[in-house]
Amino acid sequence: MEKVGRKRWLSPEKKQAAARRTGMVAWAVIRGILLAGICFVVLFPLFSKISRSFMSVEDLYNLTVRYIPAHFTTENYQLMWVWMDMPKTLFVTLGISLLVAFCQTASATWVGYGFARFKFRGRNVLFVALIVGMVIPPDLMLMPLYLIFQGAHLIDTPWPFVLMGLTCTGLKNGLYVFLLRQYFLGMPKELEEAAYVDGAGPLKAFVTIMLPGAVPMMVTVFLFSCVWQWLDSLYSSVFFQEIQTMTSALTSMGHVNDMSGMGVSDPAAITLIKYAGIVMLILPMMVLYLFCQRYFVESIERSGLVG
Amino acid sequence: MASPKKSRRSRSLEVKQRRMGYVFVAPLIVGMLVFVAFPVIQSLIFSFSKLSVVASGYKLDFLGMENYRYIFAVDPEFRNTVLSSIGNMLINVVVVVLFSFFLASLLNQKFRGRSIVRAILFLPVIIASGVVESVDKGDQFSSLLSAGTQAGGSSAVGEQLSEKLIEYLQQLNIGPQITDFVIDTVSRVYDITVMSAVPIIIFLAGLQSVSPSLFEASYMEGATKWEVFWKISLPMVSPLILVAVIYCIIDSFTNVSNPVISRIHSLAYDSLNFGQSSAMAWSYMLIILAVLGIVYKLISRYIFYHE
Repeated sequence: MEKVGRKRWLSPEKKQAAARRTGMVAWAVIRGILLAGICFVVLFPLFSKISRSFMSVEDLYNLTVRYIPAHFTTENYQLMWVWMDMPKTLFVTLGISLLVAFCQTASATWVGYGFARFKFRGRNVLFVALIVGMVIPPDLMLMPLYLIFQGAHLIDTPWPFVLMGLTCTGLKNGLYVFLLRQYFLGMPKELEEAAYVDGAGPLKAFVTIMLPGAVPMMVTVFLFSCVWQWLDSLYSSVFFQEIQTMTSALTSMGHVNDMSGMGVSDPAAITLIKYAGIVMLILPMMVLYLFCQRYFVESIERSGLVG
Repeated sequence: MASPKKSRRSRSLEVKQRRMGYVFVAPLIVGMLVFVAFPVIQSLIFSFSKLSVVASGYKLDFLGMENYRYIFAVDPEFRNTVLSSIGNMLINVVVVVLFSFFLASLLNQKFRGRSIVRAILFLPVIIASGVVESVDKGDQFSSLLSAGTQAGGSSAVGEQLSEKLIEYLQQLNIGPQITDFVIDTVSRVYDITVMSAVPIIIFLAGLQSVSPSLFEASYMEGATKWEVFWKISLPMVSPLILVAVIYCIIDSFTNVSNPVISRIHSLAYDSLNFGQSSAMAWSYMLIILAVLGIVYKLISRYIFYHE
């Protein structure tokens, strides 16, 4: 009796707070289930690749073995390590990816800011050209580009990537310019105008006022550009004839399909070694992502300065 | 009286602005001329001719419109594959953009394990890249394997899900169109999650660069979460919605697994028919551009810029 009475006399604010709390809990549960489901969809194929990469050939033929290898082995990794000529290839690939990411991020920020803030003749034409550049199927360009760089004796050097990265015409570079242009357009103009009033030039306003706020976007672009360069097999297969990258080592294995030089001739064994190669290809980029993610989170506080 | 002076000053500002604008976009102009315009024009010439490889390099025989006539009038597949990839694109883009914006807003909330979920959702950028997929699918043994165990195949999860769902929906007895749409969407769950990886990060970076003071101010004024979403988050991120939409369209059209792109590639490098391949790439590019132009115009109207 007393309980019911007390409940009736709960103040409306308290009732509201209680309702809000249950709502929040319900939301947290729904969100948890949803995210768990999506994570499962993403992780499942990866999980099966990782588990295969530790299997030995008997496990493949054993129908009772599905996900957990019965004969756990790291031999696949050892063989892949040798096939890829490993420490060297890793450094080459990582070096070229970071170099390209740096060039592309710098040029995309610079050009994106130009598009967002300055009015000049031909701006729209140039912007349309940028979008068109994103749409051109890379196959269309490969032959002529190869001829250009071969003529300049730049094949098997990093220069094709650097030059194309610095001029915003590299792999998916249009997207990065577009991304940063949109970001700068979304920023209030008053910030720079205040700097102009204080006597700063456009260059100083860009570097001191706009760049700090753009860090999350720049990290995003850096990450994309590094990952896509890392995984690229199209440009690197054309511009690098002699130099081996991680992807070219992995794909060439698919073509040759013959590792008899290393004492492996069973196609099943080669498949397993390939899975090890995939894991080795993915791992460094995951580390890079985890490293970059810190900047996403940090930027919350930093972006408080802007706007 | 004061007007001539004022106009002179504003004109000098305009000139200054224009000059700075050119300084900022100069790298792009150079790149466009050397690495885009030149190869594209060369491939346009290819598309009107028959290219044959000879000892000294290559030889071109002018054919006129013959290549184009062949693709559109004789080739039995080209028109159909293009039409079906446009249809595919329309469904995918709508679902992907909604889904990824929703997920990005979820990931922007504070909860435990947030950074892990973010890292997982980034994985598809790496896993679903052309290289990994081609190693996975190009290998006959591994595709045999995944057919047997339903484990390795990427769409296996979606298929299993949709089987359950079909049964359930048939019991519910709602309209067949709705059922079909839901089933279609669910069977694409994996593909959609994969395609959403990049837009999610774009949106997340956008949401994070919205100044927290804006949210605080609106909550202080008594705005509800719903209102804050529609009045603050959505408009502030809207410039990036355009990027995400354009990215999705381009990605869905120029993806390595797109049937038209693989056709273009195999024509050029397997059949060594560079002329027809260039003609196909050119017509395809013009079609994509038309689609992009329409979408850009439609969306630009609803975007909020600080101007």
